[in-house]
Amino acid sequence: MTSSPRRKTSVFRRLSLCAAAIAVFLLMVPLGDADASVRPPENATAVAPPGGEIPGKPLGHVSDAEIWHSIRLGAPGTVSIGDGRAATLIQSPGEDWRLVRNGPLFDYMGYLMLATLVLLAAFFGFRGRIRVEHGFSGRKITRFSGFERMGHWLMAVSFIILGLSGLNVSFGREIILPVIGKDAFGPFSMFLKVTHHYVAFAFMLGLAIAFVTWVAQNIPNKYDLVWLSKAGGLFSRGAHPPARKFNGGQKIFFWATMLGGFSLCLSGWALLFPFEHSYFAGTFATFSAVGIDLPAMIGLPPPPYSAIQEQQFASIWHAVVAILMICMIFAHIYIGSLGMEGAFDAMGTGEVDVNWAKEHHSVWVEETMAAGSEGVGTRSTTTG
Amino acid sequence: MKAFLSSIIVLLLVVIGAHFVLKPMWDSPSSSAYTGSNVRL
Repeated sequence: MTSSPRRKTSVFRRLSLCAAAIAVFLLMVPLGDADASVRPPENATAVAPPGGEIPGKPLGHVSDAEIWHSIRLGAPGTVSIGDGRAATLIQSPGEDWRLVRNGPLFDYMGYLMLATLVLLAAFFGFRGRIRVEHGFSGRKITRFSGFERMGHWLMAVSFIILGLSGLNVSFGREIILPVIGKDAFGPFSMFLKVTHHYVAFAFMLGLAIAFVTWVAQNIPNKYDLVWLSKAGGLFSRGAHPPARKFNGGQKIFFWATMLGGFSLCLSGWALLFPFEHSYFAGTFATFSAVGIDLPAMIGLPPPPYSAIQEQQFASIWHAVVAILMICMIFAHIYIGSLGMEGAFDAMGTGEVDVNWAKEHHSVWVEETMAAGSEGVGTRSTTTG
Repeated sequence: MKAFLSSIIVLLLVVIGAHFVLKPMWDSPSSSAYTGSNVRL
């Protein structure tokens, strides 16, 4: 196979043209600016990936441990469902709530109730039943109307039901469950839980009736300090400091019941209708406005709080106030029945013996009699 | 005694009334259960 001289000349010419073109190109590129061809200009703006992550969701420089540490501390992610709370995989303060609730809170609350009962028993042993020193006169004076007593019993009965059903939430697993077993404890607790929900509204009504009925007579007056300075004569026989319809001790009990009951209603309402209220952040903001950093004083993180944190605070607060009120009610039931002769008649029949009334509410008796002896009768006594 | 029994009757009336008013709110129908805006403890 041979090639013609004319064809060889054509190939040579093409190769020469290519070599010349390459030489011209190399001469046009300055060797000193070689890097500029691969780097952005100096005035260019670099856009970093969000959060240091490489697009496409590889781990990049973030390790598994760092991710889970953040999740453990409550760092929220993103969810496509409507409930944004689900974006928080681990609600870290919930563990603090669980430890406090199942640990020291219920321990101390249980001890407090037992201590109250022991103190009342000790007081009964020391003082005995407080008698009517002058004996029953046989004359009665109306102390509470039927409506007042209805409001009192509505509040009392509902509180006892709420107290027992609430205590089952706190202590049932330790006390009731071992006795009746798991199969019975489940439906039993469910029934008490539902009962607690509905009876709560009866308690609210009873509390409102008691407030409207008695608030005017529970405004502090000059007799209260005298009564309190003598501890109402509870520790000494023959001492009967003057009092109007309610003495200083009863007024303290009234306001503690109203404030505690109202607080129970609010925290209970927040638990009944969850994630709709932020009472604690609002309360702390009110205190903060007057210079009191309440969260710091009681060891809580500063607001704002998540919806689930508000629920946890409400749960703790509801339990604490309820058990404090249960302790108060122990004392109230004691002094209104076993502790003081003739006291139960006030809420039983609504009429008390005049001598009892003169010993414990002397000013009220004088005012009532001066008003026309209204309510004073001569019925025979049945108290003992 | 009348006052005590009256309080029991009022208590029952309030409980029954609250039951009828609130039970539909607390019992989520299947059509709306498990949706994001209907999460209850």
